[in-house]
Amino acid sequence: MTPGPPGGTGSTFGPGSAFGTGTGSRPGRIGGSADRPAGTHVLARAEFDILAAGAGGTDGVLRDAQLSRRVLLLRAVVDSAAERGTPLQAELRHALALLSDAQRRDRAAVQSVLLSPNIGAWATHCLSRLRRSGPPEEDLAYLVGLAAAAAIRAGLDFEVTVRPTRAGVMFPTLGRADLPPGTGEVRVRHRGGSGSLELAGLETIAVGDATGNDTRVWRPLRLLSSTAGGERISVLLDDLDPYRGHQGLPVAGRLSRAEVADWQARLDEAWLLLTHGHQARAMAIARGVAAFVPLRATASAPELSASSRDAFGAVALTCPTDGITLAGALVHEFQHAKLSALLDLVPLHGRSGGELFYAPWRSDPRPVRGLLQGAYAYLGLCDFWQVHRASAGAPGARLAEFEFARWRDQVRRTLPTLAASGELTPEGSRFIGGMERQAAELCRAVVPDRPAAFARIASADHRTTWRLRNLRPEPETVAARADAWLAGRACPAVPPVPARVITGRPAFHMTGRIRLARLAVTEPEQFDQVRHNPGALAALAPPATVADARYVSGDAAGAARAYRDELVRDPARIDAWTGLALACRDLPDPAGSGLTDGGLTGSRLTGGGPLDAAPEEVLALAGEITSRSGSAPDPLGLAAWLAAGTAPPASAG
Amino acid sequence: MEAATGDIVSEMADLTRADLDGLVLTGDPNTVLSRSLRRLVRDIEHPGEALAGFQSSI
Repeated sequence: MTPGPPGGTGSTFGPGSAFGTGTGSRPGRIGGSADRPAGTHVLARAEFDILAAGAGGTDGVLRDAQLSRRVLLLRAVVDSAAERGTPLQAELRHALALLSDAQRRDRAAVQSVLLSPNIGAWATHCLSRLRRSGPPEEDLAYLVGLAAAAAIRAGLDFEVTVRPTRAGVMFPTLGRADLPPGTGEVRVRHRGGSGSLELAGLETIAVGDATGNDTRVWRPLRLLSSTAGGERISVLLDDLDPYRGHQGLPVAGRLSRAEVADWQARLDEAWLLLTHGHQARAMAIARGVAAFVPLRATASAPELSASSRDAFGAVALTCPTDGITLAGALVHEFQHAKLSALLDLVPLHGRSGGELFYAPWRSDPRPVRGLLQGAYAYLGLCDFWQVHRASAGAPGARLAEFEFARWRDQVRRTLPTLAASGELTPEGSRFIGGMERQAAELCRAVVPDRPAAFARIASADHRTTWRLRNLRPEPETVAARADAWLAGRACPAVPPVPARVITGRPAFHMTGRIRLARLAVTEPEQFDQVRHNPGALAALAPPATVADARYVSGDAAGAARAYRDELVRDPARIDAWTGLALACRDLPDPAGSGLTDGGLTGSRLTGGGPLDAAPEEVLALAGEITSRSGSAPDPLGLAAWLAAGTAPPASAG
Repeated sequence: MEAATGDIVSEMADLTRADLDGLVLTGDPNTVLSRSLRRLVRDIEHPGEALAGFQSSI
């Protein structure tokens, strides 16, 4: 999907493609006075079912529909701007006329620019602003650069006036002209025969120059390309376009040549992996992903990838640490791209009814649309790990076994939630049915015991932590229980009231235990070396503690004691509450573990007790008691008191 | 494209061959194009969540 060199010679849209060439034919008008009526896009049922199984790509109708969407958006922006009386009306009309000329010369070249990711982001942003607050002139000026880029790619001779913005003049898919501060309107002249672009009389550049070198004015977009297994991928590295980070992503600035080389190396590694055993998925990614948008790593998100429904074809991500990270991120984000494109064509769910659900891959509660997107992305990743675990050598195979075991179960458990949400359309129900069949197929595969066991730990850890972070028990119940505890009475019997799900910011919190579980699977010798060393643990798997290492080592009783000590010091530490719940659940005989008062407490915690069934209730109660009394209750005694309905342990207060 | 039995006919107008300069969005509100535009505007006004994030677990 990545546009080739300008002039149409490298276009990926050749004869016989979904778009055709359009050469020599004048397209008809469409709309109120159309030469022919506008048809609608039709998705073959077989293609829908392939997508539901997590396979397929964005070729054909999904890409055609994105093109139609871009055309509609672009025209809507121009018409809305005119209705709002923008002073740029003449420039916008000229830009449209230039686009139209370019279409007549080389339709495929124009389509390649219209389909570049940021056009969708820009047009959506513009239309939204136009409808809310009037003509955003700086935003609208982007259209002139867009039209110029399309005309350059079509090989037209033209001259056009552009207004530089704070971000210079962007020519999408080609590069950016950074003009001196204070530069007003400038003329840009292109000669199709020579491929030369004259910028404001300051500089003349060869747009097709593949060296990628910056000049005084021109900043070319760099193209990453890789070939493996006879297959090729080419992706623009977009560190220039002003709309590349429109959703508030922390985009990186202009990359150095060394940084570009790092990205190229990661792409080479990832492409080798993807083309080895994942050919169909690899080729779908090569045809569907047009650009990488480099992100800055932050303390809260050292590794992040993201994609936007509005920027079809772009993957935003921090520089991957290795090829497998990039391969996984590409598989994941391309699943989002496929589903987003499908949703633009076929509604799979209605408007959210506001209900929020547990998603095993996020720390925050998710609506149906988010849950579906996540499940679909992880279904694709499961397929990736399924293949990879059979082809990679250790430790890659161990990691693949762990990830495969973890996510296939989580996807399979999530799909019934979606099916029962009441928010799916009939097509949505059919789509979930296809996902369920694929997940069931993946779950039939045999996974070795060790990675399977650690995957279960990670899943239980995530779910318990999610409950502690996002569920709030009914306050009156918490208060009544705190009254009883502090008065030395038995836990009062109260009718069960469902906990409230709170809304939160997007979050990807991962406990130290999950990091350690992965380390124990992939690098068991290294785990053994560091598991008694608090400093090494915190460095390797932040924020892991010795209690976490004990738990991951299989010492549930030792871990429970350590977690209890942590919670007496800091009763608000959610990770420790999760650890205590997990450890108690795994204790074969809590009464004999040395944790308990004569066996009573332990017997009540067999299988985890309230810590496992409703950890948020124990956490809320501990917080209330600490707040009132000034001292933290013993967490195990408190959990046993909740379970038993008897008087608090003698040490309680 | 002709729809076969069971195929999904979307509400999105096929504009892959449209002339950008000649496209007319105003007029009969019951055209395919008008319906496509209304859906587009609805999506923009109620975007839900445009961004899908993924913190690598690898």
